[in-house]
Amino acid sequence: MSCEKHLLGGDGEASPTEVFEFLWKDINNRYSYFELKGIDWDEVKQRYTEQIDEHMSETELFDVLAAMLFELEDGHVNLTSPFNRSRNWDWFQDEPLNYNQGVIDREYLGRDFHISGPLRHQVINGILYVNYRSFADELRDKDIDAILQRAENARGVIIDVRSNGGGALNNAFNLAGAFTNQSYTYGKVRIKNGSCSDCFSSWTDLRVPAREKGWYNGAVVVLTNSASYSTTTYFSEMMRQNPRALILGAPTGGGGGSPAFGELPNGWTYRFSSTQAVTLEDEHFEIGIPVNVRVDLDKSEEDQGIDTMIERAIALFN
Amino acid sequence: MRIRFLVFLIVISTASQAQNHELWFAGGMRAEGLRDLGYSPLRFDGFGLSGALGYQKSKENKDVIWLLNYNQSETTNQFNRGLTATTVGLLNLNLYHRENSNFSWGWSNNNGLQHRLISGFDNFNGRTDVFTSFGPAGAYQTSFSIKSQTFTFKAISHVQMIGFYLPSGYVASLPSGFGYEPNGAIKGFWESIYLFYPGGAFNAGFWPKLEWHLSTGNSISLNYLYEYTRLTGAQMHERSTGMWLLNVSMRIK
Repeated sequence: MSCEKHLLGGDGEASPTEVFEFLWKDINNRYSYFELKGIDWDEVKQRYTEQIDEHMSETELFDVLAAMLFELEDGHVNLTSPFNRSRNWDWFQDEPLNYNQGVIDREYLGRDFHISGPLRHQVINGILYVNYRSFADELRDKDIDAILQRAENARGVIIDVRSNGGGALNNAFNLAGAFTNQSYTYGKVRIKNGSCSDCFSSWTDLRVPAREKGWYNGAVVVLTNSASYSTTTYFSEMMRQNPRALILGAPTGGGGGSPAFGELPNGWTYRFSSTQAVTLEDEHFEIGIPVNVRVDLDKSEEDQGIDTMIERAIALFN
Repeated sequence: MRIRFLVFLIVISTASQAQNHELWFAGGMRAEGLRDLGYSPLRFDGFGLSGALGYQKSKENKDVIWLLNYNQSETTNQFNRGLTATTVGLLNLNLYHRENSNFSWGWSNNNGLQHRLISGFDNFNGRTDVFTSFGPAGAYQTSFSIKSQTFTFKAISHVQMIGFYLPSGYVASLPSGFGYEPNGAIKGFWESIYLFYPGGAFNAGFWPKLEWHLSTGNSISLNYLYEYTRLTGAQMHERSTGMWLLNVSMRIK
């Protein structure tokens, strides 16, 4: 009854060599940041080919492939098998965390903070403090309406996206659009469109849409740290290009390439950066968005329940 | 010889002849096998539901057939990754035949659109292609009776030779002239199309059917429509599908 599939032929071999070659080649063809990172992928292949053995176990093969992908130094690169998921988290693990959720919960949000969808917010010294943990959590219009309404009588707004690992870009557009009445360009993007190293589409503008249902026209401070990644990096640059906003804290961790996915002959999946995004100054989002005001958490203040970054942001409004 | 054939076509197509018009309503199932290197080197296969609407105009020496079909198939690969394929096809056949001949031949135009959605991939998880192509077609038919009931067996085949297609991009879901390019519709279309030519892209179909003629002039038929498509655009995609359709044909004129 289903002879149709047989006319396509079978799936071929999934030997360690086949799987290794397939992964290396697809990354070679579709990964977008070799040049920026100065990675010689051919040389990487030579080193790891020696470690491939036709009799190696699945775990051993996974470890070799994961180590090869680790060399891309990219948080958007993973190898996923039924028993493990590889990653490179050096982009934030080698940096100071600059974020203490316990201090924020106890000393700043308190017990009577408001919850509007994924946003938790509190008025602190006449300034609206908004904490957004993940852009993967859907931000609805009514959530933005709630903070805009509360911000009407505030002296300013603090958006805390520290340790926000990213999520859906639409949520970033919607939030950034709440602080402008004019659409504006904040960067450019291009995507791999062929296997050659410089096969990319044209650069196209990245734009923040203006919000039609009302916006906040006061000053905004955005708090970032090295664990602000991916969509949060995009959001930081959206806000950095807003003349009423300042970025305070530590540069974001990067994650400028939109991840594409693939499947290996043995069924394991992988993802990798397939686009490039740059700021209006042609700096890659991948290396992180710089801050306007560099501030780190002071350990002694942290021990006393003080978040140095929030305090510094509040001071900017005085 | 070519001129004679052209004259023959013109004569038979302009001659005033008796015409039959039929509308077809068909439903059934579809077996689907496909591979899209934009996702995976692995083959996906499964089943789905199909529906079709058709129209046939028959003259003494010519049959014109239009068949619009819609299919949705749920497929998986050997590691149980799911992929949903939604397909719309429009096939046009123009078949010429001599009086009392069981064979007919002519040309075909096949149009296909397929949208694929793979599970577990967060970005670029949808891939789409659309093609329009032309090529020769041929058919054989014979009628017979069993217990005073009349049946017709007909087998049609077509091979698509020339045309164009728009596939998804090398990575992106949209064709390469759209999405990441600041193009309008015309420029985007121009930058996205690939040519359909022998040795490149390929599409062919085979359509046997067994038809039972009712005394009312209508008929019921069992159809199997096999089709193979290979598009070699930004990422190679091929699919091999077979639709089993039960068709009710109504004479409308």
